Amino acid sequence: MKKGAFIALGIVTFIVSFGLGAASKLLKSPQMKKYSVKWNESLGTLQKDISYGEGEAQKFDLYLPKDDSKKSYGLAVYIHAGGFTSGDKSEDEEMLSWLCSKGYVAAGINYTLADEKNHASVLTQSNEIKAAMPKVVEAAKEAGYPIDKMTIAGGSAGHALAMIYAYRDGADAPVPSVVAYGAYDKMQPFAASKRLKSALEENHVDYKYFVLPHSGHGLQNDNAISLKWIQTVEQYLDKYMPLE
Amino acid sequence: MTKKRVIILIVIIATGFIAGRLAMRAVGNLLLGGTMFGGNIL
Repeated sequence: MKKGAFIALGIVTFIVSFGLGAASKLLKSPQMKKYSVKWNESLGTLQKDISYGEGEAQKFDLYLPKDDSKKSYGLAVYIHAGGFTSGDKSEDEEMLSWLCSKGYVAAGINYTLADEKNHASVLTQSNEIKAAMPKVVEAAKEAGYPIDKMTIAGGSAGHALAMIYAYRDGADAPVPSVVAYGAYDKMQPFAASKRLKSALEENHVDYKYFVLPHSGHGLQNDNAISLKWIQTVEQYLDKYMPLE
Repeated sequence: MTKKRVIILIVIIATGFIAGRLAMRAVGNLLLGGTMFGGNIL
């Protein structure tokens, strides 16, 4: 091979390798894939956009598992991310489908996103989540899935709303909690999570607190810890909402 | 192809692959946070 052709081969090889390296960073590990399930009808029934209020955004999706023969069900609610100003429940379909595939009734709830005109705030959004919950339980019951226990979770803004519901509006406290934060998170300052950890400790809550030491708000650089975190979530589900 | 050229290509493949991963990590850190110098654009 001539020198010029070899140099061209080297450049092409570098570009292809660069692309493969970049793509490999986006791949989920086989162990993580378990927690992202694509919705299909073999999982059960998906009821979309059920209203819980008069607001345009006040809607939820209900994922009902295939097995409808149980006397009661655990409800798993997931609140979407988006800095309180954006996002949609449909973004969490894979997570909610996973919860449904395990046998839980799962729900994704939308809330009024804050903009310059509507005066929506974390307070009003958290009150929407509170108002939605009886409607979610009622809709599940009407569909033949009576709820006797629940859990709530979320990412980013959704995590804040989930924590507010759990600790302000939930029936019983302390609420077992699994949380994860990026050490470089400046959006939701990491120091705040340390105060939360102290509060969980002081109040003898059964909790697990994960720090992702190389990540920011996106929790994007610590795959091994992310896996341990989601596995712990599953362990807590098995412990506190066992499937009979 | 000579042994020397094969070794050069292997080094290029390894360098390109690692550079690709690092570039994605840098973009991720910029968008999602993860640097000492800010980030968190999203």
